[in-house]
Amino acid sequence: MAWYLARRLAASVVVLLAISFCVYLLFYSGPSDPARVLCGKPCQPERLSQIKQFMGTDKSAVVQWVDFVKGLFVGRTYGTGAEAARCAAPCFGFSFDQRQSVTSLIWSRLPITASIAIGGAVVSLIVGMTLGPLAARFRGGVLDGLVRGGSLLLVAMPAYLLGLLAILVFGFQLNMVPVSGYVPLSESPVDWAWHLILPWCVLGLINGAAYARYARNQMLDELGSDYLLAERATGASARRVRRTARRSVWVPVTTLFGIDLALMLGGTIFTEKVFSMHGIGDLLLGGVSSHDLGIVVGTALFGAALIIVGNLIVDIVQGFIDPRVRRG
Amino acid sequence: MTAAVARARSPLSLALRRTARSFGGRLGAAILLLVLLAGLCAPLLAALEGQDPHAFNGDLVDGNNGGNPFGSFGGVSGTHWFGVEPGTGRDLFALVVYGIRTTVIIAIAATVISVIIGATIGMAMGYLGGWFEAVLGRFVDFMFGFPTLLFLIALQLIVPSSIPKPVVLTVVLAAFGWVSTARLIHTQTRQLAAREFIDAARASGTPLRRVFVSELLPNLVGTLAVVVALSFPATVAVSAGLSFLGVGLDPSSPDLGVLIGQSITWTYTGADAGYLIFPSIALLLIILGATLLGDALRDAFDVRTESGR
Amino acid sequence: MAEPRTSVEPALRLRDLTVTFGGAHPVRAVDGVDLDVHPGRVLAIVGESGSGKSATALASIGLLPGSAEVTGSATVAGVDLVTAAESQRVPLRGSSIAMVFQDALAALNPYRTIGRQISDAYRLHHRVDKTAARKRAVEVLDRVGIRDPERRVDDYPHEFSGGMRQRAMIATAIVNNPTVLIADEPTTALDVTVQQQVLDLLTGLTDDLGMALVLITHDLGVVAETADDIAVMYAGRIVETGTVLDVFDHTAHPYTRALLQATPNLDAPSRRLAAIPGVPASGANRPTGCAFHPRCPFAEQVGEACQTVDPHLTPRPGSALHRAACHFTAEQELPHV
Ligand SMILES: Nc1ncnc2c1ncn2[C@@H]1O[C@H](COP(=O)(O)OP(=O)(O)OP(=O)(O)O)[C@@H](O)[C@H]1O
Ligand code: SF4
Ligand SMILES: [Mg+2]
Repeated sequence: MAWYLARRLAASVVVLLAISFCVYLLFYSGPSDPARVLCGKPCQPERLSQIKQFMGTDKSAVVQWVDFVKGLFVGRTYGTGAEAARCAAPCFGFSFDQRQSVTSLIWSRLPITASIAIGGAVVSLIVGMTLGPLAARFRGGVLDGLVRGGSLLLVAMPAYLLGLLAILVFGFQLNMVPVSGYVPLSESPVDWAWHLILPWCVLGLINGAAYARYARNQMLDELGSDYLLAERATGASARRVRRTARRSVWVPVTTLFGIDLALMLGGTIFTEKVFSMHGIGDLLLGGVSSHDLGIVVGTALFGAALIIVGNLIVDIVQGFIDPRVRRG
Repeated sequence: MTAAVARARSPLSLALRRTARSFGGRLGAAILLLVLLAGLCAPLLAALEGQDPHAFNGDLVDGNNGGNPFGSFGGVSGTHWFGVEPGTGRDLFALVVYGIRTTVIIAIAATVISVIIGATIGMAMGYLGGWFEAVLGRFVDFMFGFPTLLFLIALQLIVPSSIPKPVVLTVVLAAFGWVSTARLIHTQTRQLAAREFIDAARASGTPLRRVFVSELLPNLVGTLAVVVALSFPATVAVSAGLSFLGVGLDPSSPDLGVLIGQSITWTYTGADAGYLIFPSIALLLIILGATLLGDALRDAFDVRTESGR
Repeated sequence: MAEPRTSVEPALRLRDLTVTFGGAHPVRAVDGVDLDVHPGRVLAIVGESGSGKSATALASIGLLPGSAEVTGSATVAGVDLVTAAESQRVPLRGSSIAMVFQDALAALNPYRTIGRQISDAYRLHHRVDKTAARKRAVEVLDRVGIRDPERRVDDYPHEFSGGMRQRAMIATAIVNNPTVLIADEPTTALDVTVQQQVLDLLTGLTDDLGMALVLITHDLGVVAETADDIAVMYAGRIVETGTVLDVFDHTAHPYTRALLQATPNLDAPSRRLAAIPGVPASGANRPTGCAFHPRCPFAEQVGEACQTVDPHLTPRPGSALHRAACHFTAEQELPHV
């Protein structure tokens, strides 16, 4: 197991390096010059080269990538002297516009995104894993029809649409819940949850519908499997066999859940935009509109890193819940 | 070799007949056709209504009340069938039909390109095998769980502004959309390649291109139909999503995503929700119709796609 | 091989067992099967694919899906599993009648250790704690010939070899000392060398535990070596039954004869059935009269009757149990070829 882990870890690092290399080639040898953006419209050539030097963009894309990787592991310092800006490890880049490291920017936004993502993921898991197996149990019944029809509609429904409709109905027509803004958990847990309830339900319904459909089909597959027939042949009741099947369904669902969570932690972009919350997705969008290459590249790479780490964790967890994966 | 084609053709028509018989397939096709037709005939329909999607009608909105349209339901009337947009007073019906047109054209173009890329890569992987398959397989697996959206957004920053936005959007969507196609076609090709007639073609030294076109493709027609039908709605959703976020098309383009994106502003003014409802319904119908049709095709062709997600 | 003990109550008694799969085109998979299986004896059920062997087995243990309509009776421990309520059937499964499936890899839960699966099966019928159940699991694993059972008890199915998995499944089935064990093609998925070991294990258990074993197989060589009695099925019906000696030495049904002839050499290592000419009949397309008549070489000699009159099982030379359903052999013996 340890050997397996080490190998997977090494592979993850290699993949991350490869992605960042491609990104640097693409973004830092392209026509968009971050120094020129910062320099402003009447831009003296010496000032431009000064800025370039400060940013490190006077070097080739490959050298810049090497600097980036170094910064990831040991941090780095931009510029020299009084103007110098320190970016501690893991340094995902620097926003010269806001004179802050991307890492600290991400860090300040992460609580918002994490609140949305984790809450939404938990709701979706609850929705999916209650409705899915129930629909399978009463296959062809009313609930099954609702789950299948509802999941078809909800899976087709873009999150932003459902979010806007939810704001319209529950926020404005019924005036039940707040429609925007974020209250930190440390300030008031109740307000925190109250402000997040709509985004959680929106994400929970949309992802939960997908889980429900998946869990339903998976459950039906399991119920038709030989080993459950064999379990019944040993004298297990139909109810006990269904319990066994539900446990088996958790195995693939856990995998989906882990990946989805990592994806969402990278930025719940639509939800943040709809509910005016300033999470990581908002950071990225802001970076795009202010042409802040540091933020854009940093956030995108952070998202990629999350997915890779998420995959790694899912693999490890899978090793624990699915014995067939375990041998390294 | 013609035998292989003939063999492939009859299951094809059988499956198509199965699709046509299924309720979901019929409903999906009907919805899709209706909405596509509306998009295709957008200029005609707008002319029929007598409105132009680009015309601002300041007289139809109440400047003193946050730009809300005069009249009930967002100004729905005989001349403005869906009412008008708050603030600008542009005709919503014309905007929606033109919006469908833009959204659908971009999605079709992106889907076609991505399916061509994906199918070619998938077939090459399955047919050639060896290290080519191994390396690309890893890459495809990796891309499959990749936070594509983040990179789609990030890319906006480095694309020169001289290239028209619709072209950028199409290319970007296609560049990230081919992965699932490649995956599916790869597995199918590998199964086919294990069959004798492909082996025979390979052994007799038939050139690669010929094998692809005359042996593999006819047997993959069903899968390709399913792939197109299922990746089209996904592309529609992502493309509208990008425009919604303001990183797709220009805010002035008549596009469903843009329309829905702008509606955020109006939501907070408390205006009647027509500006959100009509484009949303159009977008949902496209996605839903295509998904229904795709599901029916998949069942009919008995193609196993990634889980039930 | 023991003499038939007709006086003793059979461990499993099937009477007029009929299974119909519903749907747009109902299929009568099993059609009026009568069988008695006695403690300590091995009954082999043979027949081509689709003849209704598995359906008979699953009906006997009451595990057919809801789409199947079952009539007649299947009596185990005094309870008719066809008509009994599910609450009555559940405690009988595993304790009185148990089953071994063809594909052990599919029939064992991949997420649970072998030991857990055996002890779970044990605890369904015995009020004991986990330690005691585990002890019992080790004991049965030892009995079915798993070496080092103390250690292997915590292995998962994928860590076992094919033969060991089949042994483990047998262990799950016999952990509660059932009176009837149904083994549906228990060796088809195994290597030839392992096949023999598993069959030896099954017959050994039959003797030791006094179980009645129903062995479903395609393989007449297996029948010759391991079974006491045999029932030959064709299109959902038993066409010939008796002791193995009766049926092999005084074959009284042309279909049985064809099966035996299609088996090249009873002692050869691989004895899969060679094809019998013609299309097998099934419940879905059952010919009139004798279902075998389109493929039967004697049908012409008999004439009309084979196509119009349903032959019934009637006694044939040999032991008292030897019966066959054939117009031709009702009058005369099958000519030797
Ligand atoms: N669940 C089911 N639904 C409908 N028909 C079924 C079902 N299970 C079996 N049948 C049909 O019942 C008939 C008998 O099937 P059965 O599985 O008993 O055959 P078998 O003798 O065990 O064959 P094999 O040697 O292939 O295992 C077949 O015609 C089969 O198609
Ligand atoms: S009854 Fe006729 S057809 Fe049937 S097995 Fe006997 S001889 Fe052949
Ligand atoms: Mg069978």
